[in-house]
This record gives sequence, structure tokens and C-alpha cells, in this order.
Amino acid sequence: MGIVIRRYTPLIALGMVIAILAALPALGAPKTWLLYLIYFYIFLAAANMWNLLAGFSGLLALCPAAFIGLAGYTMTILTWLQVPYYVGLLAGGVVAALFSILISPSVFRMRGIYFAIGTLVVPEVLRLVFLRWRPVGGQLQGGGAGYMVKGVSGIPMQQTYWLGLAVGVASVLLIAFILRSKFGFGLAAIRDNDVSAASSGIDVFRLKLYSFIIAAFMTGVAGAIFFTYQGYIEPNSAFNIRWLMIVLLATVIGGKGIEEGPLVGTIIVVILHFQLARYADISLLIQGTILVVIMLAVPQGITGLVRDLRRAVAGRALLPTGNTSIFSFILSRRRKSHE
Amino acid sequence: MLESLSALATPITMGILYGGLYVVIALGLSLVFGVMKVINVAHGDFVILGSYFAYVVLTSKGVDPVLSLGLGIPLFFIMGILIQKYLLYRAFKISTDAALIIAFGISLIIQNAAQLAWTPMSKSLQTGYSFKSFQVGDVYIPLVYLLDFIVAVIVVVVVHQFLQRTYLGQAITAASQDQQTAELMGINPATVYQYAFGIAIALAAVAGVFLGLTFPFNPISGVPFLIIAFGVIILGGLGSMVGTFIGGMIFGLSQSLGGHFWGPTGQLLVPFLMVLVILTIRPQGLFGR
Amino acid sequence: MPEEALLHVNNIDVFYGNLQVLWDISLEVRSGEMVAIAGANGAGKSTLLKTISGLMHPARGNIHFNSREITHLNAHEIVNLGISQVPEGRKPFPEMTVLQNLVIGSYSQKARTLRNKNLAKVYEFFPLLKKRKNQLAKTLSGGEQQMLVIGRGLMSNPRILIIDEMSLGLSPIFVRELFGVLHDIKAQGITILLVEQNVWQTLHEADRAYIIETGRLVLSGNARDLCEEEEVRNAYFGA
Repeated sequence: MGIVIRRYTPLIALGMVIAILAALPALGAPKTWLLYLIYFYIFLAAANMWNLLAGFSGLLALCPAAFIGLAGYTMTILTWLQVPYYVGLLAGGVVAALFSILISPSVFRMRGIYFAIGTLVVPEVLRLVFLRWRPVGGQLQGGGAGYMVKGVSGIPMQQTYWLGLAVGVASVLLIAFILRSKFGFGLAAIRDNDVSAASSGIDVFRLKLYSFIIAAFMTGVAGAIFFTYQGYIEPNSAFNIRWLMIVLLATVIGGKGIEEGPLVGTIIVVILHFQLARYADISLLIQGTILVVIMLAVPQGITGLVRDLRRAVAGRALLPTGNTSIFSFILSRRRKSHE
Repeated sequence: MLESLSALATPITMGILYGGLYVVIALGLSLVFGVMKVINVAHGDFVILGSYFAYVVLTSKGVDPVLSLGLGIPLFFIMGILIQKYLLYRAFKISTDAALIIAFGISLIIQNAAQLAWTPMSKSLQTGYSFKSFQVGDVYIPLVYLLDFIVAVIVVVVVHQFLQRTYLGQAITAASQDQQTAELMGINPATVYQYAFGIAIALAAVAGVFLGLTFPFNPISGVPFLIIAFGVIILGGLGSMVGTFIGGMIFGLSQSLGGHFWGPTGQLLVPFLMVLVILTIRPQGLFGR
Repeated sequence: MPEEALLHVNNIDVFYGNLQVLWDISLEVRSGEMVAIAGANGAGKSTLLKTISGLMHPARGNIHFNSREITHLNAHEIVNLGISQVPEGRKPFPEMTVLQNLVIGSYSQKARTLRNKNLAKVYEFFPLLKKRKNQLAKTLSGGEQQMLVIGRGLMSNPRILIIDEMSLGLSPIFVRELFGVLHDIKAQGITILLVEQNVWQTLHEADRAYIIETGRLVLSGNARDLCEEEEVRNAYFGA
């Protein structure tokens, strides 16, 4: 009986936290709180998905902005075609996912650094395309560029808040589910050794592709929610490298390749985001410096540091800590839960 | 038909000439990539920093940008060595991903710092010869474009001679081909990384000056140059001087013809798509195993 | 009166990450000897060499060269002291010419001043390299590449030349020729440490030998005597 309760304690705690967060608007929480949290949920979902790619699937994909911008544009264009925005959110995710499938034969031929640079070019190409291309509405001078998101000005903030909460929670649950499934173990095997995983019958390409598609969809939905809140979209910010900066910073600060990493990292990134708003002209300078310092001083991130300290305290300091294989991580957690 | 061909003569000549810029940028990028197997994603930003350096010297002291390199090259060389020693090499010892992420952080820091110092507005290096041009047949060619080409030739010859004829150059060459064996020759990898990076950043200063003479630049214009230079290395082959040279010309052409047919967007879109296509056809690069 | 050994390996344990590959290995090489380390594929021979040359470091034990501890020095520092390792698998720098490969062998400070003298010596040992000096290394045959990397190893003016799997993939006649050159090199006062899978021939050429099995030293002694050992004959010569 006690064991059962202990086993479900994290789930119960999680449920309670979600319930409280969901009730915040009804409890009359200040608008600034809701605003902070909306950003938190959206960044969290994107960071969780980037962690799935870079942390768990060995794919240093530098293109989250492509998924965010494409989904945002899809949602926005659909509102011009009288499609309700909440349908557009899903459609945006689907378009981002389809796009990831479309480019996968090409980018998945690239390895390591080539994959990184290849994916870095993708949002740049999309930015240029959307600067020229105007799918709906009248021609502006010089072709494409910005759009208002139609019919979202009347949406109450609570609604955006709940959408954000939903995508944030969904990303956490999705990662938790993936890491505990056969899929997650396959990914861990690939990360440990690409070749031996392939020779032991794991379809490396397919697993990585699934990660890529899932991440594209979820990142896209999160991004589209952001644009319903913002109310307009234009290519230079939609496909901006700052999106990459946000997910990179959140994941690296929290701990790349660690399940709870993005959660911790996103809290810090959101605080930074709003604190630095006052110093907008040096915000990238500060974020870049933090990124460099964290990467050099604590490459395993905050959660990784905590884990290492715990191990050291528990007298297990002899275990290699540099190699943060998620496989051994999951196993050690499993073992703990069986104890 | 004949008329349209002669209309193309100008963009073709210009593309080939200012392709020289990409040769110089790509050479720096490939020196570092060769030994460390890391793409310095901040390389384009160092180039733009080189443009700003010349801009400051020109506007405050009235020194010609090309002459300012007398100070710029050693300054950037030392800056490169320090950045390699205290930032990149430490990250590199953690993992290649860490080095890439650090380079990305440096890129954003340079962009933001440049924006603070020189505003987001475009600048250019205006000199007495900025608007000079000469005529070849029906084609008018701006003088600075010719300079881009000449500089590329000079840089390629100098770098080639350095790599072939000095112990340090041979150490860099050897380490790019087989690092472990190079260590067995008594070559210290950390030293090789430092010099390779220092030279790469000095080359960025050179590229920056001629870029500033050729195009207007702003704090974020380094990114497209990075991407195109990366395309040049994959197309031309790592360590192949001739390949890099031809690659630079081809990307210069793709940019000028893209601009000719599809306007300012095409100027970047065509070379970017080319990078993606080349990466798809030769995912390891043309020099891959 | 026993002479002080040139190279002294004392009780080293070596790991790849968590995996231990060498257990308590000790050996010594005296000045002017040709010593062989023999054993089957995967016995840990190459790991032992990498540890001596500083590419890897032991978890326990120490290594001395010329009465100086080198256990924790890096590869590029060790070359300067006079240890030259010819890596396994004939690894010339493929895109460099034969001459450039030889010259880069003299990278360490002391060797640079002796470059021309050593180059002449290498051409004397391997006249073919002189003929091929402007060819790219990748265009050489396997045997020629082996000559090149041995020559490159000599360019650092070593007191001891360590050669990893010299005979791998080469014809027996050619291997015999190479051993002939090794004896000439030894006659010039350069100590030689060989690692070989080719146990039979190695034991006939070397002065002394150590036999390693799965990371442990199992036998050592005079090479000729080892040939006669029943264990060795059974294990390696199928007699």
C-alpha cells in the first residue's frame, strides 16, 4: 500500500501543480503573471522538443525557428480564409510536421556538423521565401512580409493561457512517455553507439525521423500559440535565430539530455526574458554571455550539476559523470523506483 | 538572344570577381574546420567585425581601409588566439557540440556588441576609389570588385605557401589529415588549433575590409556570409586551394545571377538553396570519406 | 652488472572508459636491444604502445624513460624526449608528399637541427623513398607506405623506435626485407620495440620478447628460448 502511494506520489504532485496552474486565471491572478506563464509554457514546449532532438536523439537541429514560423504562418493564413484560429493551431503543427518529413530525406543524409549547418540554413531559406511570397491578401509594395492574425484580438487572455498550459503539459508528458517507451530505449541505444544500435536491429533512421516529426509538430503548435497571442506575424521575427537562442539557452542551462533540464532552464530563460526587456539593446549580449559561461563552467547544466552533487554525496563519485548517457540515467531511476 | 547574353555579361563578371570575398572567408573557415572538425559559426560575425574595424579607423583617422589591415591583421590574429585558448578549446575538450554552442554564443555577443557600438543601420567603407570603375568591352566593372578578386588570389597563394613550406603550416596540414598521428610527430594539437584559429580570424579581418568596400554591412550581415562560405568549402573540398577558389567564384556567380533574375531576395535565396542541394547530394561534403 | 633500462614500464593498469584492457603490465627495454611484444589480435598490445607514447595514460603504475618519469606526459612531449612511435595501419599523411611526410617527422625542436642528416640516413635505409619523394603518400603501395612511416619515425632522431604491427598485410618476403633494415637501424644504436601478431617471425628476429594474452603478461624472456617453449609452440605455431 505504502509502495503504491510512493510510486504515484510524483504523478499526484504533478496533477496538483497542473490543477493550480489551470485555476490561476479563475483565481484572479494578475495579468503579468499569466503573461509570464504563457511565455513559460511556449518556451518550455519548444525547449522540451529541442531536448528530444539534441539531448536524446543526437540531432543538433538548429531549425526550431522553421517549425515555429511555418506553423505561425499557417495559422495566420488560415484565419484569413475564415478558419478558426484553434483549428489553425493544429494545422500549423501538421504543416510543420509535414515540412519536417519533406526535408528529412535531405537533412538526414547529413551527419554531425553538416546536419547542424544544413538545418541552420532552413529557417533562413523560409525567411527569404516569406519575404517574397504573399499567399493571401493584396500585394503589398515589395511582395510578401507581415500579416495580422485575423479575429484573435477578441480572444480573452485566459484562453491563450490555457492553450499554452496545455501545450506545455503535453510536451512534458510526451517526453516522459517517450523516455519510458521502447522508442526511448532505442534512442538511448543510438546515442550510446550509432553503429552497434543499427547492427542490433534498431532502425536508426526511422527513430530519428520520428523524433524529428514529433518535435516539428509540437514546436509548431507552441509557436502558433505564440502568434495568436502576439496578433501579427512577419518573416524576420518568425524565422529569427532568437528562437534557437531561447531553446538552446533553456536546454543548456537546465541540462541537455536530462528529462527535467528544460523545465529548470525555461524558468530561468523566462525570468531573463522579462528582466532583460528593460535592457532590450543588450539582451542578446547578456544571453550569449550566459550561454558561454554555463557551457564552460557547468556543461551538464543545473539539473546535471545537482545530480552529480547528489552522487558525490552518496559516495558514488567514482562513477564517470562526464558521460551523461540517458540510458544509464533511466536505468538508475528505474532501479531506484524498484527499491 | 544575343542581347540577353550581353545583359548577363555584367552580373557574370561581377559575380566571379566578388566571389573572391567568399574564397577568403571560406579559407579561414576551412582552416579551423580542418583541424578541429568544428564549424566556427561566429566566423561571419568576425568578418563583419573586421569591416567595422576598418570603418572606425577610416572615419576617425582617415586611414585607408586597405592600409588599416597593417594593424587589423595582427590585432585579429591575437584576438583569435585568445578566443581559441580561453573559450573554444575548453569547450572543445567537453565535446564538439559544446564548441559549436560556444561559437554560437560568441556570434550573438559580437552581433549585439556591434549593434550597440555602431547602431543597426547599414554602413559602408567609402573611399576615393569606391565609385571608380573601368570598362571591358561593354561591361563596366567597379574597381572594388576587381580588388576582391586580386585579394583572393594573393590570399590563396600566401596561405598555400605557408601551409606547404613552413613547419607550422605542415603541422596544421598534418593535423587536419590525421590528428593522432600528428601528435606522434610531436605536434601539440592545442598549439595547432590556436594558430589555425588566429590565422582564420586574421583572414576574417582581410575579408571584412574588402566586404565593406564592396557591400553595405550591418551587425547581422555576417550570417549569410557564413552560410555561403560553408557552401564553398563543401563544394570546393577541404584543403584544396583550387577547389575553394572555384567554389568561391561559383557562389559569387549564383548570388549575382540570383540577384539579376529575382531581385534582392534571390541574391541570398539562390546560394542558400545551392548549399542545401550540395549538402543533400554530398552529405559528408565533397571531401568526405 | 645489469645495465639501467632505457624504457621501464612498471605495473600499469589501463582503462578505456570503464573497461580495463591492461592488467599489471611490466616490461623493460635496454639500450641497443630489439624487443618484441607479441600476442593475438585484441590482446592489448596496441593499447600498451599508446600508453607508452602518451596517447593514453595508465590508471595505476608508472613509466620511465631514460631515468625520467613520463607516465603523465602527452604524446607530443614524449616525442621530444626520444621516443618515436610508428602507428599501426601504416598511416602516412595521405595528402602530403613523401618528402613532406618525412620532414614533418622532424617537427620536434631537436630533430629540426638534425633534419638533413637524418633525411640522408633515411634515404640510405630506403633508397626507394628518395625516388618517390615528390609523390603524394596515398599513391604509394602498402609496402612503400610502411617504409615511409618507419622513415618518418626515424626523422625525429629517436633513441627508441616503436613499431606497431609492421608486418600486417605485407608479403612475407617484404617483411623479411624490412626486418633486415631494422637490424641496420639497430646497428646504428637505435633501440627497437616491436609489436606483432606475427609471433613466429618476430621471435626469430628479436633479442627478447614479451607475450601478452587478454591484457596480461603471460611469458617473457630471450626470444629464441621462447620459441622452444611448449606453451608458445602450442598457442601460436600450432605445432
